[in-house]
Amino acid sequence: MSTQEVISSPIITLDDVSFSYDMGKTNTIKNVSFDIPEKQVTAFIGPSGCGKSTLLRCFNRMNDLIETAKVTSGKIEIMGQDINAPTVDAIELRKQVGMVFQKYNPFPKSIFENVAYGLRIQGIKNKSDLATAVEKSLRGAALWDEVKDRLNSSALGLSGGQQQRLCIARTIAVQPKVILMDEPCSALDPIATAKVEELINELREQFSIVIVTHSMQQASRISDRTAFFYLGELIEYSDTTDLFSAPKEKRTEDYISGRFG
Amino acid sequence: MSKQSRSSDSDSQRSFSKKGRSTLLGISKDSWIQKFFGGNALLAIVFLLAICGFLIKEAVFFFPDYHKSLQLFRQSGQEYVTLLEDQYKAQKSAYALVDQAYNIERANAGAAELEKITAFATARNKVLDFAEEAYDEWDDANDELEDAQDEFDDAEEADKASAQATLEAAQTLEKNLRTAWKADVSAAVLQQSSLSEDVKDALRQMQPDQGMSPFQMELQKAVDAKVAEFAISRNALRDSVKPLEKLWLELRDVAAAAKDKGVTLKTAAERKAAYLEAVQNAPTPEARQKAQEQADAVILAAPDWDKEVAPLYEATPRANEISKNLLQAIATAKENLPDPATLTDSLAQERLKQATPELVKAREVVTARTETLNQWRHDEKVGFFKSVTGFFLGADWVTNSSWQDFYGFLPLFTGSLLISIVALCIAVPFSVAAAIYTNQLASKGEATFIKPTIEFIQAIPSVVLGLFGILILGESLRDGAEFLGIPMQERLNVLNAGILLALMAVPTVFTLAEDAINNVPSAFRDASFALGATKFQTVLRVIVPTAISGIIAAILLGFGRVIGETMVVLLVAGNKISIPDFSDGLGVLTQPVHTMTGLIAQETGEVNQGSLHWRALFMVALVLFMISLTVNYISQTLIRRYSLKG
Ligand SMILES: Nc1ncnc2c1ncn2[C@@H]1O[C@H](COP(=O)(O)OP(=O)(O)O)[C@@H](O)[C@H]1O
Ligand SMILES: [Mg+2]
Repeated sequence: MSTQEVISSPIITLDDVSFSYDMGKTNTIKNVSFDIPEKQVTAFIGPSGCGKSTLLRCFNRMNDLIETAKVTSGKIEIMGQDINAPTVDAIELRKQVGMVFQKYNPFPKSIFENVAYGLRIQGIKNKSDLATAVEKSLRGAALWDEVKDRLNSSALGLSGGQQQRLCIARTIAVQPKVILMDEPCSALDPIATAKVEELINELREQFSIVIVTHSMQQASRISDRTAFFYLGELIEYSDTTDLFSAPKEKRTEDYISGRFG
Repeated sequence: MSKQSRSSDSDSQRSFSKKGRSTLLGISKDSWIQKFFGGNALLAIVFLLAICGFLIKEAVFFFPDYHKSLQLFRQSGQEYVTLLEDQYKAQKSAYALVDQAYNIERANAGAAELEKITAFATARNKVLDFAEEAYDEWDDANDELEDAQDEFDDAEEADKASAQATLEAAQTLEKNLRTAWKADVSAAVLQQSSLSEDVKDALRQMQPDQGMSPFQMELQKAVDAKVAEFAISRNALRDSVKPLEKLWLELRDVAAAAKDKGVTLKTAAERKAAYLEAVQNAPTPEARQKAQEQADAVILAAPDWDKEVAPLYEATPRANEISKNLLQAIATAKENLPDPATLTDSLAQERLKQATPELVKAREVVTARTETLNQWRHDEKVGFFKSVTGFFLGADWVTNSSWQDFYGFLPLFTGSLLISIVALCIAVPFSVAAAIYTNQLASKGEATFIKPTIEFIQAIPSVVLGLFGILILGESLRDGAEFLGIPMQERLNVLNAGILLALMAVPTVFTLAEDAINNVPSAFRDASFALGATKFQTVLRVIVPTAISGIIAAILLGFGRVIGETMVVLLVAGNKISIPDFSDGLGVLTQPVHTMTGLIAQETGEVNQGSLHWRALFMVALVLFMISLTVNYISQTLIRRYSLKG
């Protein structure tokens, strides 16, 4: 690890984190330490299979669903709490750390019910509370004007870009502190991608965003800081402009200049 | 697409080289195999159509034939007679309750006396056994005495004196032996220490040549006196139906004879032709003569129905009079029967209470049938539609009757439906829950254990399940019901069959529901978890709603499975052809029923091909097939629609 700057107000801190899918036989993430700042956009880049998604899914403990997967060393703290401590409830954690997936995946329900889902499972039943929250979230996801006349029709009838923004609306409806995005634009066309990027730009004011992306252009367009991973290791982590204009590591330079990956 | 074109490319290359692979009828082996598999789907359709065609062919003449049968039923006057029979039966079923109430009450009110009678009779038998030898001796002496008396009566004047002497000797002997017998009896009574004094006295006072003891008769009278008033009204009710019964049986014979003529007419032409052929081929003049006579005896003309049923019309005034009296008697009975509250036995009270609505019903039936009877015409045409409604809505399935066969589908349909619904009510919650559990909540190890175990149930032969139902489940259900205080008269009933069919439906529903749940994209699950949902919320709010059409399809296929099941219902459903009594509430589950499948399996073997009964069975089979086909079609559509969505 070559870059280690002090971030004044980190929302996520990683200290020597290793992660394994097979009960510790091999580590997919290897001794990673860095801090992710609050209310900024942090991008993870790196060749496919280097562990970006894996690390992202550690932040909301989605890897709990895989029986043999576990964090084998180190500590992940989000808002000052060790999220793997036995006292932490993954359900509560996920309410604070939302996630948007690579392939948009709205439920086969109405647009309204999709956005209201996270609130309903928290036991909110009041109709007008739900309606207010749904509208706010849809506006927040820049989708309101497009769908306000058909809130009760199926979400699966929307275009791909709209579906992905609906997923973002669904995520922000529960008011998380952190939003994890795993290649949110990889299934979208350029116009839809532009809209989502614009949205991310707006969301950074309220949320701390961690985004995995395959595209270096995207990373440089939207992120404040960028982390470059290679074979499960963090190679370089710095301000996005610095990383792309003056990479300190040879492998980073090779990667961003397109020599591999 | 691209694969196909590539393979045909290589085909043409090979044939170009002329040394190619083996062909049959100019078609390569590969295409044969391809045609074979492609042909299977076609074969299935052909098969389905063939089954359909076969069922329809055998069933199609059912309605016209049944219509003819119903027409004859009217023409011959049987319908008229049934109008009398209905009245008779309605009155009888009301009377049966009154009679039960009476007998129960009599047994209860006279319990003390009846007990004494029983004690007396038992002791009497023992005492008589003990004194048997003495009795035999007395009996011989008694015979001799009778002979001597006869001899004395017939004796000539000259022999009178000696006959008198013999008679007197016989009298003395008889008297002594009687005393000896009574001594034995008294001795025996002494041994019966547990008896009350009055019984002992009665026993001692017995005479060898006495029939019923006056003691016993007194007691009987005392018992009867306790229910004397009830007896009067009960007997009046019993006797009131006798004229109706007489008229009914009398006219029954008239109608049955008329019907016979109608039935034989159907085959008359055929039989006549056969006899005439015999005339042609007769080897001897005598045989020819005989065949000719037989041929002449066959009547080809339709019976003169007007003449045949004339006695019925003549009887109508009598029937009216009888019905009027019957109504009067029912009204009187309602007035004169004791108030149930005055009875000493609670069961008797209950029966008597039940009798009241039955009497009201009897009165309605008598009134209604009498009215119909007065308007009844034997020459009125039976509508064709009657045969259709008679089948689909008929409540009676009566076959091989010497009176009239009825083919009512309703009892079979309700039986099948009721059992299937019970089976699904048990199987669905269990199998859907198991499917959700194995697919979503169980660990891998659990899943690999649960799945094959449930699927294994399918391997149990249904006849084995049936035997289990007869021998074990039936008994346990009865014990269980007894424990809960629910009366269960029949071991073989709806519940028993329903439970076993549930067992058979579980693998089907489980496997398909599990498939449906498994087909829910894991992206939905991930999205739900990522929003902070628990496993339980995810299953209930996302997975099950997404899989719901697949789950419904699974349930429907389960229904198709159970409604078509034969062996278990044949063995376990109780096979009683009647519409279950739903007024019994859940008690309906303890009733025996018959099913469409069970009935077909049971009766097809013993009917003549082409007979009305045969056609009726095929009609039932056709309806069953249509039900299964529809259910399957709907579930396939659901599965297809839902997998497109997924
Ligand atoms: N569920 C899993 N079980 C086992 N190995 C996995 C699983 N998911 C990913 N991996 C492996 O972990 C490594 C990192 O994968 P991933 O985090 O998806 O990479 P990235 O998102 O950077 O392309 C890969 O080698 C991949 O094969
Ligand atoms: Mg990835």
